[in-house]
Amino acid sequence: MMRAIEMGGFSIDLSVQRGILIVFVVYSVIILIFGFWVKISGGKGSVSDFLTGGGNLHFIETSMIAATSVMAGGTMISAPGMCYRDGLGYVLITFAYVVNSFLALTCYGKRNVIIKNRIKAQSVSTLLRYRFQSRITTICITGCTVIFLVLVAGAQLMLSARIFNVILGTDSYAIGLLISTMVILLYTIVGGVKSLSRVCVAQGAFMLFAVIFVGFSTFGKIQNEYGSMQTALELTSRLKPELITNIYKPEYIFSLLLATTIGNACHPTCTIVTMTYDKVKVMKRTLIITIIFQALVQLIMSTSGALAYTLNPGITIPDNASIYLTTNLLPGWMAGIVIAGIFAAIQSSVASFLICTCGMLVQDVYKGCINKKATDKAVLWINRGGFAITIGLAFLYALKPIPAAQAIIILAGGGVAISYGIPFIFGTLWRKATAAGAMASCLGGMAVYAFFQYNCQTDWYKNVFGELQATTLGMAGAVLLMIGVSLCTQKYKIPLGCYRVWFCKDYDERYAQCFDKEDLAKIEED
Amino acid sequence: MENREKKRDYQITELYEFEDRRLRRIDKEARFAWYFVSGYTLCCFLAYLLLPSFEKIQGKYILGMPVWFVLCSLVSAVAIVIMLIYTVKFSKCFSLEAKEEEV
Repeated sequence: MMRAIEMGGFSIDLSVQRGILIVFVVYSVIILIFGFWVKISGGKGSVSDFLTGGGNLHFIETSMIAATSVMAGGTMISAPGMCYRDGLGYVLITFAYVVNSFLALTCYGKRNVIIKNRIKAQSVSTLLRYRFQSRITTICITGCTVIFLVLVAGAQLMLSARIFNVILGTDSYAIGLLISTMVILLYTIVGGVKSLSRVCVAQGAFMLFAVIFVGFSTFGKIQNEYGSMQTALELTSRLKPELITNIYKPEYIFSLLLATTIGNACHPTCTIVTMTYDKVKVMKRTLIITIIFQALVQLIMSTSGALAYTLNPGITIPDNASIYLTTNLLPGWMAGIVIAGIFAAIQSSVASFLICTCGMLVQDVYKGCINKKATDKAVLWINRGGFAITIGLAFLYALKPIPAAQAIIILAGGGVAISYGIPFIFGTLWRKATAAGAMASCLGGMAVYAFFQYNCQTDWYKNVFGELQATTLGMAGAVLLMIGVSLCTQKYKIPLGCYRVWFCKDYDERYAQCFDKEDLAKIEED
Repeated sequence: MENREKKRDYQITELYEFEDRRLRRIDKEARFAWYFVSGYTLCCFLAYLLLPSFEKIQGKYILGMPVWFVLCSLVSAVAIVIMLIYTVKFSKCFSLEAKEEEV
């Protein structure tokens, strides 16, 4: 039974709710059709198709995977919420997201493809396993990363289910969670990255329309109510001066910027994009579209979040700022498109996280370390099962909602950057990186991160580090351990043949399939 | 015997240093990305720290927004332009096939 909903500082009309519901149903059907279309239109259904889309996706598809997997509930809900709460200062922080894809793709976008082709890798951690030639290091990095990715996915599902309250009423959290999970499960399990890529194009279109509608409606409303943006800001800043000033301390700004620019580029979902193309031209076009798309979405959503305060300073939960703009300034069908855009952002990210997760587990832990002789067909089915299990875990985690879902996303995101990002970046680019260095960086960095995160509210932490975030300290610890331990363990470099596959032009083909000591012994016997 | 081992060690070290020209260019681009993003982060940090407290522009507006905010946004706008120009003009195109020569 639908009824007008009181959201704390604003309410949502019945007619708007109906519009949202209709558009949401249409959106979900479109997404499912796109997902199944891959299966019907002759996808081979191989492991490569499932994990990398066959490695030859169109540039529109790769750019939409790159853009939508980075922009999730944070971009569409939490960032506008933070801008509503903290003012224009946070808007500037969100702009820094635009350098993520540039750093990721320019830094390792080309090298990954060359190495991927040489060693026939199908997932990001296969690259890690080859680079470090160590089962334990791979299992350790994969295990830590998978835990964090499932936590992030669970927290994103929580945000998604909360938006469902807007559609059906405040007691519809469980239904929202179930529907969100099922839609992601169905469209991803049939075609993996191949169907994810098609779906991401549709989701990107929904997101684009969503931000355009939000932007125009917010600026239009301000013009109507105040006559100009300047007047709106001047008048509102008398009520809340921090809206137009900087309220953050230097160390906090530094932490936020570091996490936004470098931390996010170390995410495995950025790496997975590099597995989906085979040509530099595709990479370059992907980069151009992603930069423009991200800049547009961040600019409009964050600025609108801050400006929402001038229109309604009484919203009790800041995260509802974009919901307020959507449901109170737009007609029902437009609001429906915006809400679908928000769902799209969350679903595409969760699907990317979990495909990445099951790729790491099945391809590298199961096939790489437990059952090397598993057939392609068996691995494909285990991948599908793995995806269902990981999304099931994320679902179970999200069943009991916690108020600070965004805090989980930020904390677990920091964990991913430390456990996976630092070993991967150093392994890819630094010739002296060793398996021991990677292991120390992953485990030591996480220990540093956990220690400081646990103590960040204590007096001594505040006296020494002020508002510096534990993520920054964890990243610094991981980098130092990587460098220090690698330099101390130069005796245990990977075999020269494998090194040459990674760093040199001339290499022995036999070493391209050498992943551990057993393979090496076989080559040496020959 | 000792000399032969030393010679062998030297050769291995030399091989470890050997690089592909294509991969060297890729490394060069990767270094640029790191320097660029680090520089961008630093510029954003300084702009954010200094501009809001700069007295001459306090309370002034341009394009309907506070001047400090517009100036700080310009850092990101310039960064976007540089990234696009670099990607279009300077990022090298070559085959990414496993053993192909550069184009």
